[in-house]
Amino acid sequence: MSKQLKQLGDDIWKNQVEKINSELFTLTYGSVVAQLCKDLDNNYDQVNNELYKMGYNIGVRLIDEFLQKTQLSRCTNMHETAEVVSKIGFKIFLNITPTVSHWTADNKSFGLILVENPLADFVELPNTEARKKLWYSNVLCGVLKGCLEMVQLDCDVSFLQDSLKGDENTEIRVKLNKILKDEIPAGEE
Amino acid sequence: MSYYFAILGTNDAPVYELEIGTYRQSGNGVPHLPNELQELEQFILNSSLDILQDNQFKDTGLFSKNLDSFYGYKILSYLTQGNGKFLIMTDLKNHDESIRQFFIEIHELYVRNLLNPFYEINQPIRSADFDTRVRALAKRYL
Amino acid sequence: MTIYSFWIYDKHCNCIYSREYTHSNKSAHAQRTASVLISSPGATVTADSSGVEMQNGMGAPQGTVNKRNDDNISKLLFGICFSLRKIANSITKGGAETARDGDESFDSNIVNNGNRVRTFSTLNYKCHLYETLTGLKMIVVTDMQCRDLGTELANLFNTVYVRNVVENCACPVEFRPGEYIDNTIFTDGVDSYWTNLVEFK
Repeated sequence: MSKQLKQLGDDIWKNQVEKINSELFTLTYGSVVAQLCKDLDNNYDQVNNELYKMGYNIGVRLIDEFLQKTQLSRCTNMHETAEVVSKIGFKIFLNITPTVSHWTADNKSFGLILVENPLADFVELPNTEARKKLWYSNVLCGVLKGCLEMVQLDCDVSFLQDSLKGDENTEIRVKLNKILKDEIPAGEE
Repeated sequence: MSYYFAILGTNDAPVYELEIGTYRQSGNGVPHLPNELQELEQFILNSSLDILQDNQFKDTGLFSKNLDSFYGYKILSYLTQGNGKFLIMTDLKNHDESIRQFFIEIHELYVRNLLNPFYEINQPIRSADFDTRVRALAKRYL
Repeated sequence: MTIYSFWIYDKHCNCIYSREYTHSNKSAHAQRTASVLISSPGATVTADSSGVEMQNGMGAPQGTVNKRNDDNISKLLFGICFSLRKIANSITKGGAETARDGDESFDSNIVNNGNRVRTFSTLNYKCHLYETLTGLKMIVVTDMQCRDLGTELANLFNTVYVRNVVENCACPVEFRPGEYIDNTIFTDGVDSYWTNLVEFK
């Protein structure tokens, strides 16, 4: 199963995805973050928040494109979801395959370890409060949140560590809260 | 035998400077610039900027190995296309080629640093990482 | 064979796009079937009074766009599909595979693609349903001889909806009540998609 997913991810990346110059991409994201820091007076909690919201707005759109490209059907459990996110989601949009790890015993929460992070090429956080508080790539959490929520998985997504801050790895935690039920039209029981 | 190396931004304000000794001739990288020269080194480099600017649109090369001299110290320069200036003042002779190599590598570092979204052009370069890398290059080439 | 109308509902059960096609050269039979759907019991609006005729250029099919999103027809249509799916799912509920040990499987009958209803038909018309994993529902109403248009709906979603709504950042994907898909690229895209099918006439 996992092999097939990898193959699918590779195929889509090769044949269906339009590519752009990575420096343009990295610099665009970089200047968005830097500008947010400036506009919000280096209130990094707020910057994290804004990035998250931006990501969320991307996520709710991206999921439709993702489903269109992959033609996947619904995952049957969280393990499968994790594999799909890593081997196909990250692969086709960022050309990286984060390692899925650190499952909790209840199988509801896992970590995605990003060995490389295309958003953060060239980036060095200034040695100020930014290094303590800013989650530079927080947009990714927002994207995941938005995508998963659109397929009825209500999750908490956040960074646990980031190598930009001097941590050992870059790790995103995904924790399933509940599976959302279909909404019922007004007036039905 | 020592070097004084400085990067000047597009507005000629210094953004990075480093005093370093040679690693050649059994040197250990510790600079031995006389006190009176240390007090003057910024002025010396700044005064050579005039010559650099005069030559800027005459020469096509980026590197100039005999830009200026000051009592036995000679000044070499490297002007990036984006008008960033790298200058070296040294009393070492016959190391022009390796200094040129050094400049080329610095150029790459300089550009990478510019690509950092948190760095603003012409601001002093305070990154510790940048400093380490420059020192490593100095060890290799100077 | 004829396509009468096309509807999109978002996951909040609101109709975000409706399109009715009026066929000028319709046969007596088609006219009768169309009017059945249009003035079915409970409907307060009839075809004659419902909105402006489309007249945007040569060749554009006649009919109305986004005029009936909130009327009873739209709600009834959604209700039928919603209930049908719910009933269909509860019939197969016992057959759902059990969760693996220590592993919370997603109960596929809770969420939307468990047991999909593809089409249903009456003596007068046929409804084709398509639902995405993100909860978007698309319904097209045709005459009852029509083949299953499920793949066409999927295709429409992949080409027209994804291109012109999802990737169009000026167009929302979460619609507030009373907000519809009203960008003309989408509207034209949908029209040309349906009119190019042999079933349209």
